[in-house]
Amino acid sequence: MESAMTQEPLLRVKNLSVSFQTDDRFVRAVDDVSFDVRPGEVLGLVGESGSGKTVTGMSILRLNPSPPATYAGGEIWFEGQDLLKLKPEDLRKIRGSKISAIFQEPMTALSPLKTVGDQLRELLDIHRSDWARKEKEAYVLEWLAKVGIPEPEARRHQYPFQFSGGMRQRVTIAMALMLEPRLVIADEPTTALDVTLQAQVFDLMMKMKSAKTSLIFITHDMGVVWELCDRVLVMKDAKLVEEGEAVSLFASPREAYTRKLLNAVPSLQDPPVRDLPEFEEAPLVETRGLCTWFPVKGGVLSRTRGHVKAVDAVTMRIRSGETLGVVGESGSGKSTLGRTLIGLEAATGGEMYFQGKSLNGLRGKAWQPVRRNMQMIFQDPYSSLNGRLKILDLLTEAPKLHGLIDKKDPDYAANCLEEVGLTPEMMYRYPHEFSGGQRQRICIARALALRPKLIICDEAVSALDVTIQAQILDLLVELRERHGLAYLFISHDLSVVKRLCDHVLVMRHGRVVEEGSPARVIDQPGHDYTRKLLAAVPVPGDLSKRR
Amino acid sequence: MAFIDPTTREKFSRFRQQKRAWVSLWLLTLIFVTSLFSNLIANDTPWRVRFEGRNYFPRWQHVPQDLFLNDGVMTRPNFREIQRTEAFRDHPENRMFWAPIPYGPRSTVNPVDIPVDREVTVMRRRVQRVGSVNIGENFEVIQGMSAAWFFGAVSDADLSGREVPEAVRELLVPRFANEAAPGRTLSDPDGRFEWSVPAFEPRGRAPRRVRVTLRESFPVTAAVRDQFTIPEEGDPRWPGWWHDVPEEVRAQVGEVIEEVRVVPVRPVRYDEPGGYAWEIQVSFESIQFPFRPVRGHRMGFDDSGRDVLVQVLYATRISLSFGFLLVISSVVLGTVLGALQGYFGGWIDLVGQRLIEIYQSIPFLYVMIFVGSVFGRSFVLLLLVYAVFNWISISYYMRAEFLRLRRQPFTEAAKALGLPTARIMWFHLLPNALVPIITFFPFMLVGAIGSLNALDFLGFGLPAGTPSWGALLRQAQTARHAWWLISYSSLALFIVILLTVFIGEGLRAAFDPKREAHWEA
Repeated sequence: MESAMTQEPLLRVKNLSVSFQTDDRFVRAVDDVSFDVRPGEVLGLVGESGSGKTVTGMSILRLNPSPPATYAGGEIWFEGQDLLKLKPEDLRKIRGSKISAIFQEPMTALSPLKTVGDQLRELLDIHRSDWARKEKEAYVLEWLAKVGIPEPEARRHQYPFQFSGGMRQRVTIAMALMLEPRLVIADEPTTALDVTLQAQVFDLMMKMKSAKTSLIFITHDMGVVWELCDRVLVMKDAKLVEEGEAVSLFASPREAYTRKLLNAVPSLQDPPVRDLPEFEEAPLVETRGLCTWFPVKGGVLSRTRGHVKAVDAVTMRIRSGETLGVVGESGSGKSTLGRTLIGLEAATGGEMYFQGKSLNGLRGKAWQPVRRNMQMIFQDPYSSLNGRLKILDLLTEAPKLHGLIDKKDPDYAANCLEEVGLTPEMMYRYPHEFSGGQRQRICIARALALRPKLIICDEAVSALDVTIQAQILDLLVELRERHGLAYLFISHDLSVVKRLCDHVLVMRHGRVVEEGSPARVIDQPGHDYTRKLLAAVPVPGDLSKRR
Repeated sequence: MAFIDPTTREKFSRFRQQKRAWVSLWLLTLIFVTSLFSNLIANDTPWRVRFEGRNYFPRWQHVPQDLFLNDGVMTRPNFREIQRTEAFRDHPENRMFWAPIPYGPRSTVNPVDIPVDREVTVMRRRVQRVGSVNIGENFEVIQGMSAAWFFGAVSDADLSGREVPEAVRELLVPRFANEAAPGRTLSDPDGRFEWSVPAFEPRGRAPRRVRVTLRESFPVTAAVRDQFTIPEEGDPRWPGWWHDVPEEVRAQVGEVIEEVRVVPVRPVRYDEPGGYAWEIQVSFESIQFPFRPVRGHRMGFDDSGRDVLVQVLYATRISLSFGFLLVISSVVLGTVLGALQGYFGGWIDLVGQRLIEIYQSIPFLYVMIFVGSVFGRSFVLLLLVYAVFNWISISYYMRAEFLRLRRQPFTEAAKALGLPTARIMWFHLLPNALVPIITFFPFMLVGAIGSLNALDFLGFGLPAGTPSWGALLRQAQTARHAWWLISYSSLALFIVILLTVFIGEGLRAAFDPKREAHWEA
C-alpha cells in the first residue's frame, strides 16, 4: 500500500459536475468533485441515496442516461486521455476492457435471451477479436470455473434465469474482470444479496482482482467499506465531504456527517434495547407444525411433481408485547412465514392461532377481524403505497371499513401521522412527494391506524439507508413501548435483530434450525448455519474482518 | 375526483403542452359538439310556423297537414310544399322559420328548388360535309345523296347525268369489268374534297352501278366552336358570327331556344352559301342526381337528391357517436372481464382465456349479416354486435395490468389491511391500470369509425338511407364523375381520423412511462 501511494494515479477526476435536467426540475447530482484512484487500491465511495455517488461512478464510463444527464464541467483523466471528451468509438474501446463495471441488480445486468457462455464470449469477440474461437471458449470456461460456477462446461449453455442470484452476480463479476481491466467500478454489487452471499462475492472479488487492478466500490454500507476498502470518499448532497484512509477515517472521522453515518451502522456488539420483560403466558400468536408448501407443477397436464417447502413444520409463539425476530438467508422461508400468518399465502398444514382462535381455513371476509389486529409493513416503501391516493385516504380507508371511525376523519389521520413523527398537514399530499424514510413512516402509520396487537415487519428497514434505518428502528421501539405492540420482525440483518428482538428464530430451507434469546444465539451460536451467518456480517472497526 | 392524483394531473399538463394534440382535441370536440347539434343546423321541419296569427312549433308538437289545408289529413305535412300553397302564401303574415340549412338528412331536394343558372347555351360548330353518288356504266351520276355541294349544284335532283373526272373513271373501269380492285381515295383537283371508292371483289355478275363517297376536306384546325349564352332575363351579348347566320336559320334557332327549356332539342344545321357547313346546338342543363354543387348546396347532391353537406354533417354525428359509444362500451366490458381474469387468476383466468379464444374465432361479419337479416339493421344492433366482439383486445391489456398489479406490495398491503376485494380492485388497482386504456382510446376510436364506414361502404352497416361517409363513398364508386361525393365524404373522414390520431400521439407521449423515470442515485 505504501508503494501505491507514491505512484502516479490511475484515474484522476478533476472538478466533475453533472446535472440532470428534466421537464420540471434541474438537479445538480455531482457538484465539483475531485479525487484520484491509485493503481491497485480499493476506493470506497459512500453516501446515502441521492448523494450522487452512483452518478459519480457512472460518469467515469459516461454511462449516465443523457439526456437528462449533462456533464456540466470537469475532467476525468485516464491513461493520458480525458474520458469526458473521448469520441464514442474510442470510449467503447475502453469500456469493458480497461474500465469495467459491476451493477447492483444481477438479473437485469445480464441479457435474459442469451446463454451465459455466449454473453461472456461476446466480450472477447469485441475486445479480443484476434483470438481463435476455441481460444475464447477455453478462456470463458476458465473464468466460469475461477468465479466458482460448478460444472462450467454444462452451465455455460444455460440462461441467466437458470442461475440463482448469487451465481448471476458471479457471472457479472467474471464479465467485469475477465479482460483484466485496470479499473472496476462496482455499484452496490451486493445490496440485492443477503449476508452470506455478500461475503462470498467479496471473497471472490478480492481474490480475482489482480494486484494492478483498482476498484471503486460504491455503497451505502459502512460495514462493507470497512471490510474492503483502502481509502474512503464520503459524499453528501452531490459534494465530497470527507476523504481518508479507511482505518483512520473509521477511528477518527473528521466530519459530523461521517460520524453520523458510522454511528448509524448497527453492530453485533450493540446491547439489546431492552431487558427481557415479563410477558403474559397466553400467546398472541401460536403456530404448531405450520407448513406452507408451494406445488411444483410439470408435464403436459401440469401435475404436481413436488413441493417447495417454503415453511416447513414451524412451531413458534409470540406473546403480547413480545418481539420475535426471524433471520435467515433469502429463500429460507422467513417472509413466507409472515405472509402465511396474515393470510397472503395459504397454509398447507399445521395449525395457527391468533388470540386463541384458529386461523386455519379462514377465507375471504373471515380474515377481516384478524387483520384488524394483525398488520404488516413491507420492505419497499415505494411500491407499498398506492400512488393515486392521498395520505389521508390511505390512512382512513381501512379504519373506516373496520368501523373504527365513521367518516374520513382528518383528526384521526393527523393522530396517526403524529404517532410516527410526521406532521398532520402531510395528509393532503400524495406518496410520491415523500422520501423513502417518510414513506416507510406512512406505512407504519397506516398499520397503526387499525390499532393492531401485532405488526409483521417484513424486512421493513432493509431497503433504507443506514441513517434512515436507525431512525425507523428507533420509531419501532418507541411505538412498541407506547402501545405494547408485538412484532414479528423478519430480517436478514443479525445486528438489527439483536438490538430489537426478545426472541430469535433462525430459519433455513423453511425449517427453524435454532432459537433462543438474541444474546444467546448471537454470542454462543449453537448451529453451524448460525455461525456462518454471523461470520458473514461485516463489523466496522474489527480489524480481523478487514481483507 | 379520486382518480385525479398529481401524477395523472402532471401527465395531462404534459398533454396540454403538446400544441398539436391539444389543438386537435379542441377541434375534434368542436366538430363533435357541432355535429351533435345537427338537428338545429340542418332540418327539414321549420322550428316555428306562424300561421293565421298563431305560432306553431312543429319540431316539438304535432302539426297536422289539416291545419293548413283543411283536407282532413292528420299526418305531418311536407312544410316546404305547404309554404308553396296558395292557402299559406295568401297572408303575408304567415311565415316559416327554418334552420340555417332547411334540409334534413333524409329529405330529398326537389329539382325545381335547385338554383341552377337558367341560362341557355348556343353553340355553333363547323361540320364536315359527307355525301355519296351512284355512278352508272356510262360514268355518269345516276343518283346523289347529300352530294349537291360537291358538284356545285343546288339539289341532289340536279345531279343525274353529271360526269365524273377522268381519274375517278379509271378507278371504276375494273369494277364494271368485274375485276378485283383495292379501295382508293382520290383528291379533287381543287383539294376541296375527296372521292373514295370501296374495295371490290368479283361477283357473279358485273355491277351496273358503283357507289362513291365524297368527303369535304376537314383539317383539324377547321373544328371551330363558337358559343354564347342567353341569360334568363335580359338580352345576350350577340357575338359577331351570329349576324353571318342567315336570317331564316336565326329564326329557326330562336324557336329552338324557346323549346329547349321544356324538351331536349335537335341541333340546327345550315350551309353557308358558298362556304362551310355549320351546326348550331342549343343546350340547357337538366338536373340529374347526383347533381353538382350549386349555390345553397355547396357540396352538391347525392344519388337520391339529398344535400351532401347535410349528409356529411349527420354522418359525422353518427360516426363519432358510434365510435365513442362503441369504445366506451368495449372498454367497460373489456376492463371488467380482463380485470376479473387478471385479479383472480387461476381457473377463472384459464377458463376465461379459452372461452375468449373460442369466441374470437366467430367471424364478425357473418354474425353482423346474420343478425342484421333477422332483426333488421339498426344503429343499436350494430353497436351491440360490434361491442360484443370489440372488448377482447382491451381485456387482454387489463388482464395483464391486473396480473402485474395484484402482485404489487401496495395491493398486498391493502389485502393485509383487510380491505374487501371489490374495493381493492376499484380504488387501488383500476386507477393504476388505466394508463393503457387512456393511451389506446383515440386509436380505438379511429378503428371504430373506420370499421363503421367500411361496413357502410360494403352495404352491411347502418340501414340504407342513414347518412354515412361510407355510403357516400359507395355512391361515388358508381357515379365516377361525381367528384363532390368522394371528396367531401373522404375529406370529413380524413379530418376526423387525423385529429384523433394527433390526440392519440399526444396522449401516448404524455403517458410514456419512460419520460417519468426520474433519477435516483
